[in-house]
Amino acid sequence: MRIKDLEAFRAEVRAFLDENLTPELRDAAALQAGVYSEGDVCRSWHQTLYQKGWVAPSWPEKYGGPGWTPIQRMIFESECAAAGAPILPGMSILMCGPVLIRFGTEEQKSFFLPRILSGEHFWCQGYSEPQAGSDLASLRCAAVRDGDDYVINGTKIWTTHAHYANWIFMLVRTSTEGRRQDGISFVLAPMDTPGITITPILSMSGEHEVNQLFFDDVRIPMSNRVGDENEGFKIAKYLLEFERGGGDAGMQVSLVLKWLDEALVQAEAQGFKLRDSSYLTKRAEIEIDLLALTWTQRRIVSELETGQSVGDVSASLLKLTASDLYQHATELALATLGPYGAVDQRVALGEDEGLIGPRYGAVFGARYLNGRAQSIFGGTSEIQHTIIARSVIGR
Amino acid sequence: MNLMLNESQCILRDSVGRYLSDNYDHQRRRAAQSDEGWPQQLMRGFAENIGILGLPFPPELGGLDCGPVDTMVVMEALGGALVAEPYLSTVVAAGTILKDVDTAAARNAISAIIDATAVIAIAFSQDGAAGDFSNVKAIARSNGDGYFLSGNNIVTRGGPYATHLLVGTCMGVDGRCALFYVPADAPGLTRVNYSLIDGDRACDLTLDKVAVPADALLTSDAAPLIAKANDATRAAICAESVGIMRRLLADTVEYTRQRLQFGKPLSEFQVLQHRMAAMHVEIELAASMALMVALELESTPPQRSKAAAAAMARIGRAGRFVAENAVQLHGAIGTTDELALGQYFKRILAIDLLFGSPDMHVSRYVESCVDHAN
Ligand SMILES: Cc1cc2nc3c(=O)[nH]c(=O)nc-3n(C[C@H](O)[C@H](O)[C@H](O)COP(=O)(O)OP(=O)(O)OC[C@H]3O[C@@H](n4cnc5c(N)ncnc54)[C@H](O)[C@@H]3O)c2cc1C
Repeated sequence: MRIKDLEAFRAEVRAFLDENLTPELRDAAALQAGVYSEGDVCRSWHQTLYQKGWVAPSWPEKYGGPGWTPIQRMIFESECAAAGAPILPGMSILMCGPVLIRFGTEEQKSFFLPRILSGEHFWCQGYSEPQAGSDLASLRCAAVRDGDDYVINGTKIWTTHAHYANWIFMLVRTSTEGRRQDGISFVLAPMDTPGITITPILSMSGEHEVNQLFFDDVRIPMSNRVGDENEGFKIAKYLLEFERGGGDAGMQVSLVLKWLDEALVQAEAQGFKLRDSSYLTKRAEIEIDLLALTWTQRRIVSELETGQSVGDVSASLLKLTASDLYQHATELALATLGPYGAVDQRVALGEDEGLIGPRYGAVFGARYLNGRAQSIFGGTSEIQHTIIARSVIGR
Repeated sequence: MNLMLNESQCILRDSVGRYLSDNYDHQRRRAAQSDEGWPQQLMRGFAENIGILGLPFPPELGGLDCGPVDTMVVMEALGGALVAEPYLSTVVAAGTILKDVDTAAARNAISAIIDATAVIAIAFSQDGAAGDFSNVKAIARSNGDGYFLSGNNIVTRGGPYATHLLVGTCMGVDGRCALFYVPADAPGLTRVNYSLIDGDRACDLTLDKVAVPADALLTSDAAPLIAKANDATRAAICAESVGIMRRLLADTVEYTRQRLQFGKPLSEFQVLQHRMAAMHVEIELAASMALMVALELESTPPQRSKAAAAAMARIGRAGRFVAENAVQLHGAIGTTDELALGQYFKRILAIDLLFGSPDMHVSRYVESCVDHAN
């Protein structure tokens, strides 16, 4: 695509966002502390994008994607960030979708993909277990064949948004023979299947995002397996490439900077002077790093076809860099609040007082605390370094 | 030069440490914190069992006449148990001021601190901590026998449970800074109370023509005393941070030794070994700065302030590094509300926000160098 066409495309995206991003949606997005927007905000924005045909930018056209090139997709995502759009959870569109497209049967594709697109199905990701974090292949949650069914017993932990989800994709142990990686299968289960219970886990910032799930004789049809039996680990890793490198890596960072800029304009209107030279220097450093990240992603993505993953090393590189930068950006934002940054706004909101201190900073604290998880979920930074090292050193 | 703790300091460290580990674990502290009376209980426990409330005060007032290094020893222990807040504002900050004010009211206040009937919150500017937000915005006007105080102070730590406040105000034609000792239940004083991320309580404070008697005025030339109290607070905070960091590292070492991934303890992965080694190095440098500033507290004001800025800058950086890596090395469990770790992490963060980031203290350090040069 020529530059001129890309600019026309950008204008079209911008006009759409102008028209459809209501102030309520922008506000809700700006006040979200976690990575993904919550329930209603998500559903509403998902619907808007779905109606327009833009909800699954990474999917090939034949499955309901908009048919964009990877560069168009980056433009779309950076415009969304610039406009302050809510971030949709990645589990459905970004993770489950590409896996089904690549490994699903025709039946699975025609059943699930339209429902993912429409938002009828909301997915969560059941990989980690208490004893299987970085060492995913040591997972134990077992699926045993019984007639045409699997019967699942075990537990999953850190399952983001399981309390909103109506489906889960999960890794289960279907064999204890041979290499550990070779006894894992990728299966799909409705969350209302009898025998699944959810226990919330609160984060350091007091948010309920993650859960522990217990599976007690949970029965699902064998037709809910994706790919061959004991081939699940390969699928799991393919999915991780999308989880780590699938979105616009810098999007969350640009959003944090954008919200921060808006906040400081408000603060200045109230007479506070918060942009001293040390702030400006730090802000610039983050923006420069963001530029480096964005151009790296452009370079990687420009070689790809629609729907293709960036590959594991690039995915790790992008994820690693973006999470580090996100942590710096949230730290910078929090510092602008001075002592008000130390207020536990969650407690305050639950009590009579309501929000304490300037409204613009209401979630800066929670966002910083939440941001600590960025270098842990989706594979820790240490693990990303290991993956990159393997390729650099060539072992 | 002997920089080791002397025998009595070692005894102090061990007895405070033992008392705290017998009485405060993370669960109990958390349960207690939901009760507004808990800081008072805490302080009574200190008074009755370890006598540390009299640490810096002269013997004729019932104190122990100890110096800044003793305070360092105590603060490090309190930091390790996450119970430092009321001690810091009452004994260290208010204590520094009251000790230097020679009035009957100040002496009474010291006695009340020592027997734990007074818990004091600080309502004056902690310069460098807050930039624009927390300047003293109170004024005092003479009112025949006494004064009227009006103004406000944001994020007053310990305000909700304090029995008394040390209020800094502008007073008189030249607008010099004055300090008043004010009962927290004085009419006209309102508090909007809330919790801080580290679990402590704070308030935004408003004084509306609060009438105080003449002897509530501690000094009408408060700037030097406030500067001194702020530096003493910084030195104490440095020691507290060291206590917190040691605990964060100890928990991390323990966790990585028992958590198995890839068939072996996490502590056997070299990346993690190096990270924990780096945490240890940071803590040692921080401990040295905490000692340095304690020893400089009795130097000339410019030298003292410069030392305090340097210590806060360096220790703030160490604190972030240690706290963030402690969470990182725990993985997902480290990001939850379940372990004590999260509480320690949030206290380090709160210290940074409440008492000034490394950047701010570096700027203060630069200013103090410029002042010296002129
Ligand atoms: C907010 C949040 C949301 C999450 N959402 C989901 C979800 O929806 N679904 C899901 O399945 N999982 C989810 N996770 C789990 C996440 O994938 C795991 O936390 C992650 O894989 C790390 O595992 P762990 O937490 O058990 O840490 P561990 O694996 O125990 O790691 C602890 C520390 O050791 C280091 N380490 C481990 N192995 C090595 C090694 N070989 N070399 C060097 N260092 C090593 C790690 O880097 C880390 O610093 C989520 C986690 C968080 C925090």
